[in-house]
Amino acid sequence: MPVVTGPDNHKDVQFVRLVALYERQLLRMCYVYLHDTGLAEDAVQECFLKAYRSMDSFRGDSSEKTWLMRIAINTCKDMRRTAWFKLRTRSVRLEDLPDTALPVSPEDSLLTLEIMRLPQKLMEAVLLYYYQGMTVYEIAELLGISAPSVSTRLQKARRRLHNALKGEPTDE
Amino acid sequence: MNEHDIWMNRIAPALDRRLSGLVEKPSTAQAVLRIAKGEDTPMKKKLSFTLVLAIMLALVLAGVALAAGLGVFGQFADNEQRKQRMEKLDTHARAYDAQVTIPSASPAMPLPAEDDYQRLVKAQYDRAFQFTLEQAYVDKTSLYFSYTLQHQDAEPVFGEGLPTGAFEWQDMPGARWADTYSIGDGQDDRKYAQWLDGHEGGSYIIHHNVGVGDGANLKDGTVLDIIDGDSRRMEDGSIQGYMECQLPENLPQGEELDIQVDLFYGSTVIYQDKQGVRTAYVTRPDNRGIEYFDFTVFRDGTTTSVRGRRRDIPSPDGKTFAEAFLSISQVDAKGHVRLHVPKSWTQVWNMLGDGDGPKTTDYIMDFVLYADGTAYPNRDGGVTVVDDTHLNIGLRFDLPRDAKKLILRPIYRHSGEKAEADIVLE
Repeated sequence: MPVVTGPDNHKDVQFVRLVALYERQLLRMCYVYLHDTGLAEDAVQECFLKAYRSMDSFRGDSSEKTWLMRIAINTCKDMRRTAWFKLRTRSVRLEDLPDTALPVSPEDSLLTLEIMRLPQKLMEAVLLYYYQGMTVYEIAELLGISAPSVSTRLQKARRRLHNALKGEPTDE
Repeated sequence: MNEHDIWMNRIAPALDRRLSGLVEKPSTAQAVLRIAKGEDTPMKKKLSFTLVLAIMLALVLAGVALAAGLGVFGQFADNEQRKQRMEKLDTHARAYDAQVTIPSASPAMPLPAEDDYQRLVKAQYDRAFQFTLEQAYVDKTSLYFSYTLQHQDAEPVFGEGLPTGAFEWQDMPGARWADTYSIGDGQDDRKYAQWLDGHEGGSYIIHHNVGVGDGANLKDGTVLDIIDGDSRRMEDGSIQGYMECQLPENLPQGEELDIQVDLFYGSTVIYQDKQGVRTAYVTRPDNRGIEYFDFTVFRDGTTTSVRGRRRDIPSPDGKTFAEAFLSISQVDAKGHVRLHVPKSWTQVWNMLGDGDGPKTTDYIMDFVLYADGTAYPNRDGGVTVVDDTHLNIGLRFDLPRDAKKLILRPIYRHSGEKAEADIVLE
């Protein structure tokens, strides 16, 4: 019988808890951000690695979730800043989405695609607010912008999503 | 239920259902702990083949001949949606011809150059750019600017064999660059395919990338979101483009605007042999391939604001109320209509897809502008549900500036335009 060894100190215990709590959400959020399963898995690994390395310096001046999401967003931004992703954003298609484990409606697929097609800054706001359930103020702190700017981005995103789901042309 | 709740109840569940195939791995925590403690190295996943090909093809842009006599804005007056706007920008934007040069740099510490990867990293420091702010126009609501970006390394590098060094390769086994040849993206694609296919023992291409980031920032860090933009690679390898960015509503008055634009650059390596295709991306490690440019532009676009109200807009539950706001600059007219509407209308807009609502509901779906009797279609038309009884419809029109009579006419879902509901703008 193989011997299963657990984490050997308090920091590791906390880290394992962090991963258990956030990995699924992070993976899905990174997928929407990066449009690729492999890259999303890389980003999640990189995010948790950075988190582990900076756990000792985390002072609790923001919530744990805000701290981790900041690392995740910055990791995705770093990966996405290459020319590849700037140009790739416009060509995400239905057949590129991963297989599902649950029944989905066409509306689920369409909404997912249209969120992935949003400009980066609008997509960030949508993912952090509607998917991660963060407040406008938490998002403002994370992104280093004002709360009204967050609200404006959310409003623009809702308008774009609505237009896109209606089949109307959106601003490029 | 208001719009916020509707989207809140829609987005997260939809994403979780559609991405339900992406789940956590039991081994993640332990894998990261091993890497953190030096017991393992990070595992990089393969980039999906179609993703890489789409990216690679998009990187190779066809050149466009420069039409004589037009500024950069005017070069983009090539489709109906933006033709008039670009032409007016070309006429009214101030010419700046303001150049910023990013010279080649020296790394903080001497870098080794013992293999191809190290040489390519070191080469990033040799890269130099010249960004020219060509034109800019600032009105009450938007910043528009056009630019030319020149870089010394416009031509790709062609080599044989596998490049040496610590490239972070993304592998596509069994792939061929030429498999995408049929998409027909132009001369560069053919040259790349010919080179890669012509060397059975393996060959590579280094393509140097550079581009301008979306939007801009004010000097105080306020983000100016991009509303519109486009760019093209010219025959000489330079890049020309434009952007329209949203100004914040509460921007203090002033004659000038300090803006910051960012530039990103790196090099893409494509390798192909009998086994397949490999790609890697290299940037300067100290700045991750990002530079910033600062400019000051004049806020000298003139804007006239008009508004109108109508209290007796026909609706199924009696009359409804509309208030319209339009800012008319020398480029176009932008604004919105705020409608006080029956709940049946907001319910329709809250449903996914047009036409999913009750078929009998004859709601306002858009507006057309009549200027001295000539109709101008709405190039925006975005609808925001403010709450159960309020809608905002975005407006954007091409407009002859000196029109004497401006009327907004609602377009109903089933009955079309209704002149009896015209809103006069003054």
